[in-house]
Amino acid sequence: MSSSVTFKGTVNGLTIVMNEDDPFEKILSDIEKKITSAKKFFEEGNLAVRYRGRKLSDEEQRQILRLLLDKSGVMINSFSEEANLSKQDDSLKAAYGANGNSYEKTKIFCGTVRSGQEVRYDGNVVIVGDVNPGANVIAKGNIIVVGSLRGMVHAGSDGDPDAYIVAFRLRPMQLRIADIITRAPEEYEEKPETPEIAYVRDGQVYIGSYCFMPS
Amino acid sequence: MGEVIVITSGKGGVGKTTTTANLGTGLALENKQVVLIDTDIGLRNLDVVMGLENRIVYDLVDVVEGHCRVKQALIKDRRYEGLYLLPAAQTRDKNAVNPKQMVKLCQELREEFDFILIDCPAGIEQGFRNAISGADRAIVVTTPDVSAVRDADRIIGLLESSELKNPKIIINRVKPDMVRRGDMMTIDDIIDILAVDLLGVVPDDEKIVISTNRGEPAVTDSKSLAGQVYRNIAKRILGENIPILDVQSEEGFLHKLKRLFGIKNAM
Repeated sequence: MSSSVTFKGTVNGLTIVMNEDDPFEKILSDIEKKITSAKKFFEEGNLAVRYRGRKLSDEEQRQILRLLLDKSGVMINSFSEEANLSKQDDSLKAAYGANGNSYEKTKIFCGTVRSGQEVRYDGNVVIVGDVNPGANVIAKGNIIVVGSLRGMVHAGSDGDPDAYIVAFRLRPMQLRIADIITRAPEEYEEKPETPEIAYVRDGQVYIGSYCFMPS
Repeated sequence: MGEVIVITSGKGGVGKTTTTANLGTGLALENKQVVLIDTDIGLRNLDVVMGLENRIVYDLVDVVEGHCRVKQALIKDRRYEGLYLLPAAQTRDKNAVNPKQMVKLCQELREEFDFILIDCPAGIEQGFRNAISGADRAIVVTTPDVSAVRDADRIIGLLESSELKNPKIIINRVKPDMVRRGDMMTIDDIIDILAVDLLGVVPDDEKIVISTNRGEPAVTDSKSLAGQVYRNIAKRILGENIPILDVQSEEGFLHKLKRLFGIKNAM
């Protein structure tokens, strides 16, 4: 009989993948078995543990956490549900996991937004083209630039910190999300030629490489 | 029916007037009937660059205000067949002309000339509005400076919103050495930002300064590289398909000679 749980080691710690259809009791016993068989895994001092595959009630979470603490003998830093993503990419989680904003309206602008021009909309904005220095794009929702972003963009302009900005080439003069204003660092930095995402966490703007979600 | 082309840039000092003078002369050398209009009222220069300063009797403002006929104000360049200049007024300002009058003037000149080149003043105000109002197409001049490219971008945006679609650009004063050293924006960098068609790349050339001061457009100088480039641009305006001279990788004569004799570059 196959196990109802799988352990996956990640950069950040451990992820427990659970089978949704099996009864919770089986999951508990399978976790116990896994811990015993994977003792080596728990030699590290402390672990951040995440789970996915099924929804857990608070009580069920507590039970699993106790089991982990009792059987593995390591410190558990945190125990939480992982956003439903295949990649261990914090940036994506920030963008989608915490994505409380859901603007249904989206404006699509085709062409280059040039110096002195402004695209303003009370929803999401997609620019199919470049945003040049001296141009502004301001959206109440999220901003996606299918091209080079070299100008100023302001996502979540009404103060929504869950708004995010994605660009194929993120080289902005200035980035604003909600009421946070950031600019590119002064020192020269080799920037990746891959899509990037900017989002807010703990009152700071983070920039991460953007990978596409699997369907 | 002639074609009205406005030569503009946004930023001052990038070479609009020099470009106008050289392209106009270049087109006249191709046996076209050409008139150059200086719309930089109050700060006229095109007459100086063309060496026609001492022949001005009437100007653009006189024409639009009806003090004279267009024919009377046109200065014929005696050196080049088919080349005329309509100078700007020096004692007035940009508000002395309005876009409607420019459209009417262009319509009138269109009947007799193949090309009407309009030298636009710097800036985006009334003078710019006047200059572009009668134009069919636009040429934007820029230099490989961040500020000039920024202004060119702004101008292209304004041209596009004024129904002057697909402007072409001329990149002026490119210093091949600096580009090769990575100290100057490359042509590709500029095209990447502006996303418009390239009409020509003019290398920085001391001969331009000399010819501008003498009032003899460099395009007539067969030894000048910049002159060669202007001749090519004129031909491109006429629809000829001439590859863009790659000034960035243009080697000095000495280097070419050395390579020819197989001498390693020791310098």
